[in-house]
Amino acid sequence: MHDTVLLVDDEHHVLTSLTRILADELFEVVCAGSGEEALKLMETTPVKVVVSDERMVGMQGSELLTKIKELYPHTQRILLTGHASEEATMKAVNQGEIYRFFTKPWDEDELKSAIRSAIDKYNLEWW
Amino acid sequence: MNRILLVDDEVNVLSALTRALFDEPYQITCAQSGEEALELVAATPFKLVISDEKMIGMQGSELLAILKERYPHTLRMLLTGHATLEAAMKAVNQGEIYRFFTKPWNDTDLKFAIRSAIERYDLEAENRRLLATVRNQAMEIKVLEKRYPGISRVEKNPQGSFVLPDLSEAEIKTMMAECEQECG
Repeated sequence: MHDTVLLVDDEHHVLTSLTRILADELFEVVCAGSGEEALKLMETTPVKVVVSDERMVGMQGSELLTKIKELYPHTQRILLTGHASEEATMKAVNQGEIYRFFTKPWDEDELKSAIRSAIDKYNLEWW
Repeated sequence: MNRILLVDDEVNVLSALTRALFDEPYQITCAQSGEEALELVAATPFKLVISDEKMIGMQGSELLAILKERYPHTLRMLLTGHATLEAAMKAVNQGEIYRFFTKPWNDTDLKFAIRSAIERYDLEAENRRLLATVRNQAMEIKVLEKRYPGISRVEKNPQGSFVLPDLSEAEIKTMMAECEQECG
């Protein structure tokens, strides 16, 4: 199985700049513009780590991560958000059991190292 | 023993929590600061630590980050009245908290989360125990194989029947004793 990372954000430029930052990494990056699209993609593509925005049109990030936790508990979940209410944070932690939580603008090195460590965690737990 | 440590600098919160958990099968200990909590955890193992964020001295997210590093098996929860985004980030990223609650809390939700944390702790402890057993057995087989090459493999004759070596009870006993001695 490939090391695949799924990025979810409804702002196209965020996905573009994240993809550019992660271009040199050893994992494969796929993108989705909504929670619905992310879930659809995961039906056919096994994903080790999901990095999702919170505020999106349609499904919210914390809701998406909760669904992913239920459907694909092995996939590690990271919330990357510009604005997170206390309620969204609670939902992401308590129901989505997120591995990491970052705010925008992100720190490149921290984000990269968090994704790498999430992939390691996946491999350690399920391989 | 299901030991839980509650950390809050407000005594009335500690009493309310203790009262709320009175009927549950836990042994509850309270600490009024992060520093006191660290002293208690160093002396006695706890399955779960529930901490407030804003306290005099060490903050809750800082305490939970230290606990994660020193006692990774102990589960961690943040129960707070005011959590800044930075505190929440620290609690998640460095403290790897299991649950996050705000005050005033809902007794039922909190009790349910604690039960589930204890279950998770027990499950992980059982996993560690089983892993140690498996490793130990693999080691025993390796030692036996070194001394008696072929002993860990089953041979079949051309007819497909298993060929078992002729060993007396005494020989088996000696081998087991040697093995136990070498594996510690």
